[in-house]
Amino acid sequence: MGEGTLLEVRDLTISHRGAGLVRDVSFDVGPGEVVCLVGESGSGKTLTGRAVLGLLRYASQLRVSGTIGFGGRDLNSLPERELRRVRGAQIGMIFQDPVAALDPVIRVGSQIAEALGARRSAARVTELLTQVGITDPELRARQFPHEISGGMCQRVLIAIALAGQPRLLIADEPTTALDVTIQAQVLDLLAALRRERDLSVLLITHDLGVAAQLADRILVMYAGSIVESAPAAQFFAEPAHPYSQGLLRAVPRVDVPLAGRLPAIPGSVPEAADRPPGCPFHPRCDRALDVCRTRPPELEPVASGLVACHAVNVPAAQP
Amino acid sequence: MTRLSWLRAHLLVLAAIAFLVLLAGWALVPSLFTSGSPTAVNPVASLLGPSAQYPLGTDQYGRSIYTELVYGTRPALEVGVAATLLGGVTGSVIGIIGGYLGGWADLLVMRLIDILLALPGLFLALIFIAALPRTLPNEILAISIASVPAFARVLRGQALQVRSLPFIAAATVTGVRRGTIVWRHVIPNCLAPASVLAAVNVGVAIVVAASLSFLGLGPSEPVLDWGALIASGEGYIDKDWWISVFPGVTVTLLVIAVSIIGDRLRDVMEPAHG
Repeated sequence: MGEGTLLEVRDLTISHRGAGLVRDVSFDVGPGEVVCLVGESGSGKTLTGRAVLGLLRYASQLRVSGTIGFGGRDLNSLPERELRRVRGAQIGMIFQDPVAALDPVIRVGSQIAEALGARRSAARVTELLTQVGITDPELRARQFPHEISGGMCQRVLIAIALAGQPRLLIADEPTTALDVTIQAQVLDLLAALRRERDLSVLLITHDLGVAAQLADRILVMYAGSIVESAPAAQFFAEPAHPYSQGLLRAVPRVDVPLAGRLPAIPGSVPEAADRPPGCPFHPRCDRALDVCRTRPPELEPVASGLVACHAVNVPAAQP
Repeated sequence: MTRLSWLRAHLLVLAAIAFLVLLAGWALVPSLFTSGSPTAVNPVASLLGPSAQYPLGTDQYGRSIYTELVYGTRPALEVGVAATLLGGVTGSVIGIIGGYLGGWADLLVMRLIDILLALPGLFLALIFIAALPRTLPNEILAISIASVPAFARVLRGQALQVRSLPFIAAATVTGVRRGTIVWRHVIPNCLAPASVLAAVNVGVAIVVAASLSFLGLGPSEPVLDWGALIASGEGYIDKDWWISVFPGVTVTLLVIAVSIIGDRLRDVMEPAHG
């Protein structure tokens, strides 16, 4: 394991009946770092997050290969019994739909107590609820999930994820189901927790606005592969991959007046089973070269980070 | 909604509840509902039709059918509830474990359950009662086996559905053991359909018990329950129909009442997950 890395994913491939849903994904998350996995629906970002904690083991049709290095061990080959000790205690996870991620028939406090395991106590439950910014924690602990708001449910989930004092938090679309003001509050909470606890976060989102608020580093996924990796500041200033550029152009800006329609990337993400040969993005790309149709590009270093694109990499390689 | 229209909308359910309350009364304090004794023989009054003195007529020994019916309620309900509990818990455990764990064991058990499901409950009970000494516990056991397949099927479906809900994944990633997940999250979320099925099954179990008694396969020590009562009228059904018909109607009404309430319960309890 490299110096200063907490999570080290190498060549992660997830396939379903031979179709690669996620292909050769490699990335690192450092201590205290917020890495953001962005991409459209179907790009494989959620599967990647779920694979880290072995949640795909129960889906018998999915094959997961590659290594997931964490604390000097490969989580992907770790027996279930040992992986269970990593879950919660080392790596926590929060989900897209906070209301559905809480058991409807169990009181909020008991669900947090369950995550505390042997160290459970009413005082710890109250303390955790207070830490995630829930007022009147004693009352909330006695309520059922349907009695509290969606934003509060997400705070409760964060409290559950923090109960085991993990070093890494995987946040899978944590704000998608919430309205905008609540989104901002949850993002502020995540930012504060990261500062106070030196928590690493693997943030999975399709929302570049969310990514911009928290991320140190951006990983762009397209059709199961990482196509660009760059520090957040550089990514938003100068995205290198044509797909990243298209994504950023499609986001409305408050500082630039909108001239006509917002540009969109034509077409949609190809299904895993019928991806085009070569670069999977070439049918939608405005800079596609001949080579893009035949040879898939590899991630290669550029000034800002790593990019998998013939149009970006080839001209730079020529003298 | 006005009170009257509310009453009209729920008339069927209210009638069903009222009938069950009456049966509960019969079962708990039979002496409150009839002054006679279920075993009081009166040769002068044998085989009388319904009248003011004997509202449901008398049997061949001059016993009041009404009194026998009232006193027969408790043993009938006892068999129904006991058999449902036994069969329901067994079937639910099979279904939930199969549904949650999946795999080849689930496949194997469920194919067996499918075969059992193809046989009528009474037939299953007959197979077992034929092989066992005819005692009350064995009768309950035989009837309970008849209800195992239905519970296993329904609960397996529910467990399959619950297993894929996000809160199970959420509990898994906090490091909760699989056994704890089943006990604390899967089972409680399967209870709503199980309780609806159990309510309906009590009625069915009573019918099966009555059928066994009617066929002469009830407990060898005679229990004065509805089934025995129906069976005792067998030889008289062409002329003195009231001996078998009134207890038969009572059993039928019980099954109807329970299924009306069961349907209503399902309507109220199902939309929990939205």
